[in-house]
Amino acid sequence: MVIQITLELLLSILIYPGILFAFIVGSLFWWEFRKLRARFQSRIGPPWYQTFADLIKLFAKETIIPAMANKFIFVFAPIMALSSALVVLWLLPIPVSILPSVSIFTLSFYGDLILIIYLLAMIEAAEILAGFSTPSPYAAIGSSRKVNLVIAYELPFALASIAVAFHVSSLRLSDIFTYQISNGPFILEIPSNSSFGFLAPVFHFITFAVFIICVLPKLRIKPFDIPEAECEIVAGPLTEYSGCLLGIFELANVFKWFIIPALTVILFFGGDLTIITFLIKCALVVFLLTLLETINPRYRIDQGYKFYFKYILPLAIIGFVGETLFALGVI
Amino acid sequence: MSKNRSFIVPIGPYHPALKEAEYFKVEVEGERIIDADIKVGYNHRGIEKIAMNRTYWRDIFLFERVCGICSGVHTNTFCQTVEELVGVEIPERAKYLRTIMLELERLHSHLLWFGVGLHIIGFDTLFMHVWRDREIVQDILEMLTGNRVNYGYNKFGGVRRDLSPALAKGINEKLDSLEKALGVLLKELTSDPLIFARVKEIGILDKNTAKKYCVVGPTARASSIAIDVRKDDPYDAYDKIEWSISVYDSCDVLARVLVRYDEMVESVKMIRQALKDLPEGPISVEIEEFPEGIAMSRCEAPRGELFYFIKSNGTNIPERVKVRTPSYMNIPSVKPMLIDETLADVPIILASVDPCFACTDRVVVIDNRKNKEYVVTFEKLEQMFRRKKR
Amino acid sequence: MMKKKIITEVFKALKAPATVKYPFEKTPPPEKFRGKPEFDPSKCIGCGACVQLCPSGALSLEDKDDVRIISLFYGKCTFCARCEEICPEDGIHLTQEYELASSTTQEEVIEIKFDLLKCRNCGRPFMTVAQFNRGLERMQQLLKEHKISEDEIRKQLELCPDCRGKVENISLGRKILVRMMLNE
Repeated sequence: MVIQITLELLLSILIYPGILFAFIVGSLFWWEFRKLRARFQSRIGPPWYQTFADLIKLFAKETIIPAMANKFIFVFAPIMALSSALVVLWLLPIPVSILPSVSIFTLSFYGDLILIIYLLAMIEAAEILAGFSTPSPYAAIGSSRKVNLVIAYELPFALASIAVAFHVSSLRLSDIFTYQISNGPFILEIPSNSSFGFLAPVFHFITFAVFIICVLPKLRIKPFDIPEAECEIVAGPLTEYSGCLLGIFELANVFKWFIIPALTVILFFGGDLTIITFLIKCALVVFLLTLLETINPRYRIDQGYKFYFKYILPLAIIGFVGETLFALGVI
Repeated sequence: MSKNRSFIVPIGPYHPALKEAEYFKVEVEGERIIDADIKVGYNHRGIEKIAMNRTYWRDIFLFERVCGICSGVHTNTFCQTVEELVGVEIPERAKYLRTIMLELERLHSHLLWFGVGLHIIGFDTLFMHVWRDREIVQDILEMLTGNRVNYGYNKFGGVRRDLSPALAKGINEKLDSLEKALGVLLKELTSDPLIFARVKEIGILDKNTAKKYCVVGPTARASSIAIDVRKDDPYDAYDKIEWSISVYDSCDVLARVLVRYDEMVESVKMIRQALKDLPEGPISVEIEEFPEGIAMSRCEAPRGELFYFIKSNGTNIPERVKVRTPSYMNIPSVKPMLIDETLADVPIILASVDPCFACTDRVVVIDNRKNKEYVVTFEKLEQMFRRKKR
Repeated sequence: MMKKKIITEVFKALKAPATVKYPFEKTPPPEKFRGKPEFDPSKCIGCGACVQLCPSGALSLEDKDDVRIISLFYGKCTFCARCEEICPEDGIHLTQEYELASSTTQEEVIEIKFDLLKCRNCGRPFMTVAQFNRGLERMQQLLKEHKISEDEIRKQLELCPDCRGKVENISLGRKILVRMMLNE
């Protein structure tokens, strides 16, 4: 019995909906982003297997560690990024069945929303560390820009993510998910015990907008791909990386392309009973992210974090306060 | 004190921000630039020396290849200089045809620059769209001259190909779609506050500094210096067509963007006028020999004033040809623009003077361990490469 | 709205990309596009004017063993069309082909061969047979006018430039010239 449960667990973690599934779906979402962006720019775009080809090529290339880099951090940083991404992946509640049913796979536990926010920031911290471990001026500038940006957007991101939890009175992702199965997607929810309930969706939209804008730097999407601005600093923090180590970083990026749309759907558009509707909603989130990338140039770093502090943080606070007031039944 | 806290960032010679090899050594404190050093070279392929060994006719095709973007204006200036040396005047039709080719070249060069500038500030979508619209100009050039670059259109005494009325109609139709595209571009540029945030009040070059550095072309016109060879010293058909130059006085990168945009709109109008007023007649005169003497001539390339000087000793091989390209004057003026700006703005400031030259250069190694920097010559680089162990 | 124009443009671009899937779809160049030069063996007379004029030295001429070989190396050709301009017989013209990549340099050379005419006097080859015949063709009207037989004129003209100027060889030429002047 124990062996069977362990085997099932192992299969779920490794294959479906674990690493292999997330890898394939993440690669396809990244491809969707690149293909849509190309079509918006009047180009044709890469074929569907592009991400796989890129990763295979990276792992086949020579890994060069600069002579003056801190070797331990240089090798440890990508591993840190990948392991954080994997842990977040296993914590997400994903509806696994093809026919509608309430079976979701999750290793969720109480308080895991906080852990997820922390681990997503950890992936960014790994890149910052990677940049500072080499003596290249480009990497140093890229990492310092990334530090600036992370300080600017992590707080609104946390505020926006936790706002949802107040309605469910639980910080557990699977509770948030099951709540939306019975009550419909969060973004349209009107609390029943309130006289101003019809105003609630406004705050939901504000929180959603803040969440989406804070997610852009994590996925290197314009206008906030500042640390990786190739025109100015070659490749930012990852300038000196090549071969397997760069492959591990990009693998973590592939998982991010699965995690972040999935997280968006779980928090705001959840309540799916089948994997198919879940994936369709994730694809629509990717479409929205692509549109945001295509119509914007890149911000300069000082303009970037001023934008976050001047506009997004106040919005996040407003949204957070509104959500709490609705959730506590004060309004 | 600042030497200890400052940090040297090499930009070039091999860098994604630059389209050709140049070398800028930028000393930064945090993100603020406190000093800049520019190593400027020439088109060091030894073109002027090669030109001294070849006949005049072969030299036309040599000078066409000095620059890929402004190749037409190089042959135009060269042929003009030789025509001045010989003392012959080209027929009217040839003058109008040369004007059409030059304005088409200005269009394609400015559209290319727009794409590159937009790519540097990160706006890839508009970059792709602008270059898609630039293909219209390239199609026109292909119909007119037979090739998209290196037109081979000029010869001593006139032009080599004629323009049929059917071709003129085709060109007019393509110019209609180009005008529409330019209108869309303007709306997209002005309706986006993020673009303005990246180019407004960046890279200021005030009028006196600009005069001191002797800048030419759109860089000068954006610093309220109203010079343009087409107006000051008209050649081809520029004194017969109605057109106006645009001068802005905000002296920043935005002014240079707007100057180039206005020039593009003017170019379309000029081409249409020239097509309408095209006189009949021959397209070239014969030139028999090249007398002894000196001659000089200048033209307005898309980047500024291009100057040629020829010394002839009576044979059909020139004794000396001297070329002074506009980028040679514009690039040193980047240094006052860079001081007190942030590192993030360096590429757009460099691109705003539209540098166009290829030069040989060296590699700087900043050795943090021994705390010194040295320049690595090519031989040493070869040695290091050969000795590399796996 | 702030970004309305670019959003509409971006959705318009979705309709069709501006690029074609080359090499599976091709776009033909316009007429009079300057592509690969080709000899026309029926018209070229091997005079070598194009060789003298080529700015990059892609055309070269070699006289060897009574045969003249004019070869064109695409690797050096700049497609300037000077050869087409100067050719008196339309023997070389630029086609519209532009896909000229190859993996060996041998593929990029085309040659055209001509027999050389030998001087009647010293036996040195000096001109191609084709050029000579073409020259004769152009003279047909004049020859008929002055009733000079082809045999006669051949005896005079089939001399190399050195022998033609020698005193002992000009007697026939003088006779023909006197006859032409008397006819007028």
